[in-house]
Amino acid sequence: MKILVVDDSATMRRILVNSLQRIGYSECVEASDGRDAVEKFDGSIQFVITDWNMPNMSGLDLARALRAHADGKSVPILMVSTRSVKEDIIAAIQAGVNNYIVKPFTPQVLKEKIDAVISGAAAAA
Amino acid sequence: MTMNHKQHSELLYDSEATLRLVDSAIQDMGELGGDETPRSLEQRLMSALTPDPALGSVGLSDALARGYADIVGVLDSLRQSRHLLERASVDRIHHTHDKLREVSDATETAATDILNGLDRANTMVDDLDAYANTHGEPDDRASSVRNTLRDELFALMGHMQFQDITSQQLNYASAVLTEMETRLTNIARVFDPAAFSSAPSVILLSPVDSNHPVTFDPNASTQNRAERQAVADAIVATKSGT
Repeated sequence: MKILVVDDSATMRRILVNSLQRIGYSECVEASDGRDAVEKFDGSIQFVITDWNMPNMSGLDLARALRAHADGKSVPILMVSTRSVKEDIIAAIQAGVNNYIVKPFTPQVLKEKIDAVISGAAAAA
Repeated sequence: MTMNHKQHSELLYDSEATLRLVDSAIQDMGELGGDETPRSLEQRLMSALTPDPALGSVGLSDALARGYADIVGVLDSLRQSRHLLERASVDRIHHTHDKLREVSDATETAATDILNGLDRANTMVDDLDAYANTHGEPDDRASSVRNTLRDELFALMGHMQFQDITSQQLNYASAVLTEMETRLTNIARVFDPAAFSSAPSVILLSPVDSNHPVTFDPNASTQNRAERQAVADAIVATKSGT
């Protein structure tokens, strides 16, 4: 599964990619913000993991942009963010995010949420 | 240049003393006008400035000259206040802002170095695995030790998330300082009406570097991760109907 990892922090991208490899997802594409992610997004991307707070284009705007994209209407989106205010999480879901992880995360939670999103997408298909 | 406590006290004392003198002068002007009823400052000033044929021009001009001299004194004190406020507060904010950036940069560099070190350590564990596959395990515990070591290295990498969170906290602190600086500069300008239309004498902090725009979550925290995740899970379950 090809995963697009979007975070403005190089440290976080590295941790996410490493964690993904550890749980069996070795094919990752990295983007440093929402705008970069939109440019790199194509039909080959099967899963998107994005931060919220990023320059140029936020994760929330990225989710909206992907949902408006011909290839992104049903791509699973997992948001990984420090934001944990109820209203923010609701806004993320309304923007098209499928599941939400609060930073700092554990690899176990990352795996659980990816599995949940994939199984949810499979059930909806 | 910074303003110490003694300078603060002296400035405050001078300002108060000058304001008292002005008030006294204004009251004198009011008395010259012969009106005993309490009036507003504006009324008293207008009264003092209105020629009174009964008093003649000499008494009024003396009072006005004294009032003018006192007001000039107050304005000088206020200008000094503005200058000291700018220097003491804004310089200190600049310094703190720079320190926060320094800490943020140092943390990021350290995090990168640590991650590089962890990568190298992982490669070494892989080398040990390859060696064991080629030459056989040196003893019964070797494989288990390598796996435990790999788990530990992976866990350490996960802990490096603190860098992203503290970086956001530092960016938030910098943004607060920038806002404080702007407000203090505005207050300093109010102290000196002559400076209203002039540019600030200090260089304002730039919260956003156009090459490196900064975003942050003001509530970013490393605390109560499990509880906050539980809140997110409950909302996701409700909203997505799972």
